[in-house]
Amino acid sequence: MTVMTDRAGLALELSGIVKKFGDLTAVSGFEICFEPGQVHALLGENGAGKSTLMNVAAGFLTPDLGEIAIGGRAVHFGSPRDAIEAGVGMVHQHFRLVEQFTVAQNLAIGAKDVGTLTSTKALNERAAEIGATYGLGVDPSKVVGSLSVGEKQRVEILRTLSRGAQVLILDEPTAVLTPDESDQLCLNLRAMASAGATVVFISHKLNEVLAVADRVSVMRGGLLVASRERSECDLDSLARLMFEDVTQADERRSARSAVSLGTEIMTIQDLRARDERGAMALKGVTLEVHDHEIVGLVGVAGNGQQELEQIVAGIRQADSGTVVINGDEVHGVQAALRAGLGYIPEDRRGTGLVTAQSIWLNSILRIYKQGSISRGVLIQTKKAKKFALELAKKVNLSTADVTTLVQHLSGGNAQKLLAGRELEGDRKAVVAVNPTQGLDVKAARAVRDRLIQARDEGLAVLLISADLDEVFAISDRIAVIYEGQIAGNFAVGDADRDEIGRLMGGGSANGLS
Amino acid sequence: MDYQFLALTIATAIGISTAILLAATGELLVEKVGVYNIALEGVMLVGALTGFITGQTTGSWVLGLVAGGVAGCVFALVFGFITVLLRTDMIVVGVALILVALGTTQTIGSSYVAVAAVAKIPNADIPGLSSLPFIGTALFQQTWVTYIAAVLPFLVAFLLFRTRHGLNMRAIGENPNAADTAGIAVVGWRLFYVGVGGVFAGVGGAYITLGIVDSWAGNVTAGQGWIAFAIVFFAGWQPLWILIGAYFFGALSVLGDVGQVMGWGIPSEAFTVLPYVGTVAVMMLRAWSQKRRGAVSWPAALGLPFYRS
Repeated sequence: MTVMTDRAGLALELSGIVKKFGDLTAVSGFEICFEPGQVHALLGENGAGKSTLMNVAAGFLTPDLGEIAIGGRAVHFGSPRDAIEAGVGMVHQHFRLVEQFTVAQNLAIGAKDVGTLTSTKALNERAAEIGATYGLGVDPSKVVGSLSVGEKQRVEILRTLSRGAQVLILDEPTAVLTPDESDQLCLNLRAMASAGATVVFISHKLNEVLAVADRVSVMRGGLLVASRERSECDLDSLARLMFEDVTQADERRSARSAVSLGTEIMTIQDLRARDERGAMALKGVTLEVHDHEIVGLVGVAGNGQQELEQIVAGIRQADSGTVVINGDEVHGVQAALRAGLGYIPEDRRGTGLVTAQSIWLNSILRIYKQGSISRGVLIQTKKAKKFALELAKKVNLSTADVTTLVQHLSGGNAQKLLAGRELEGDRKAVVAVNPTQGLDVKAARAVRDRLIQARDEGLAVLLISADLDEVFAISDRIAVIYEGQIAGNFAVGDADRDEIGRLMGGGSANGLS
Repeated sequence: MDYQFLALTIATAIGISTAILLAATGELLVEKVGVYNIALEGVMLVGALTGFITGQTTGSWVLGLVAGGVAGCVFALVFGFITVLLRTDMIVVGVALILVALGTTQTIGSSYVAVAAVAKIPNADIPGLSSLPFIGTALFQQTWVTYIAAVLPFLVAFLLFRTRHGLNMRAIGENPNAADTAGIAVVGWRLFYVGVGGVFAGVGGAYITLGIVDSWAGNVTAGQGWIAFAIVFFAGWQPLWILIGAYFFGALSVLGDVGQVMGWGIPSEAFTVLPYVGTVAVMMLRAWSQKRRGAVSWPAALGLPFYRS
């Protein structure tokens, strides 16, 4: 891939940046310099201040104190627009795209090199050109809302680069990508750096930081604790820098207690469904999950996982086929719930939780109709809060004040609450989608442990994840989905990473036809 | 019904829709950037009185319309500052401002009640076209304001769907965070278009007192601002449907007069209510059929304050 550089490499220097939110000091003042021609990883736990610091650098936040210099010149950013003009662009973890617009329209908004008059054709041609220039292909005429997460990210990166960004900041860019997409992204970032760009890579994944970075800076509690060349770093030392109290960040592999398969709890039979545009998204998916079993479903984003997840959870209709949970054929959310299904959706703050409401109200969302919480039409606040408090203790929430609004919880705590709620009570099965996405190592481990515990208690767990490491770490069986069909189904002991990768990409399995 | 009478009826219907058409077209621009100015009725009232007083004192209907537009703009910007900059709830602020406008204009305008306008807006026959049989009388013997109002929805459609700026405007209304990230001045443009919408509604108000009823009375707008507001919603934010909706209201308004002339024997109260009920009913039917086809799409961030995050 080639990168057009209309500016020589620009160094980004941040000196003494302080940013407070109320009583919380998110970033508390230090010197850091991001050199051109390098991929510079900013590593740290959730809440370490990485995103805040870089939002300041990209004009989204105004610092309380401190100075920003680009290419040696002091700058003051009042808005992202100022930052764009200075050559700084940021790709956020939660994409900033107009879902209703096409790819081409998204690339055109706010752009200066678009003619005063526009036509669909001209915008599409421009978008195709931008895609070709930066070697990232996306269909210009597709509506962004219909794209996979990986594709959306490509649109974001293209938009940033097409504005002439020489300093490219990426906030947790691999959190939602498949291994292949992540590898491709890393290659692209390396190429951009080689072409002279300054790439800032925010992450909490040690392995990928070691794989992609030239330089690694570690933040903890709003402070810079280390900044080193890649050659001076290894997994252990970085992990120690990141977490004072965690010595080993590697994943624990936990063996399943039962050896033979139990009874089928969740049976998905020949499921067919269309996506929003009417194209076949599921072309006859059949999958069983037994009790005491975690089935990991892997695939490149956009191969039908979302449709499958939503049909099982009862929020989308299938064209044909059945979903049976614990002996009942289920249609709709209430039926799925009655049959004992828990649902941990990918979009925890949108679909999973009501962020503007308190912890206690969120805790009872699934069970508020039950006699233990309600009498007639009235919710018994005391009982509900007591229930919530027990749940909060059980899942180790950071706060014991159940009136706290969910929007004030960190990603890890929000997910613990959601997982706790969905696994609470008389559950037989659970669907979890990218449950550890965006969480730091500690929080991710807590969520995985909870899933393993649920499995050991006898639940059937369907884990839909883009994180192959995670699937290998906790699944008992691994199924691969490709273009709306199950391309392979293995016991974890027989599963081979390379083969699974091939199947995810549409190749055929070795020894099978 | 005779031929000439029908032509005159159509001409009256089109003329009478002018104020609503202007206000609704302006409101569409405002809503496309994600703000709804629910104080439209108040903006029109302010424009109506300011325009009328200016017309009386200067003797010029042009100055009257300009003054109406400026007053509408200023009043709308009050709404804009409170809702866009201070991020206060649009409905609460809007309703409060309508009451302010109603009370203030009634007090200030009390000495102008039942005075005939000296600067009435004259009809401007389009040379050639106006002498065409039937069509000439029906369409081409209107005021300049009516002609311009009829063309504006087409210009707005062009702006929104054929220009770069229109794309940026729609991005602000769909997802202000995306627009902000792309370097668009979200708050600035929102304020700008609230002001533009105020000009449109203010001129519309002044047109009522200088071109339709030719006098001032308290609450002279009589709900036209509300109808304009409703038309934008039911038109599915499509400029050409706003034109149709406004003309439909005009047609129903004229129907009452026609009924009296023709001696249909229907109580006049029924005809007074008909334009409001009829417009809302028909536009709701349209919105409903659109929704069934899954084609309705309002600006996703409509009514939501913008916080940079």
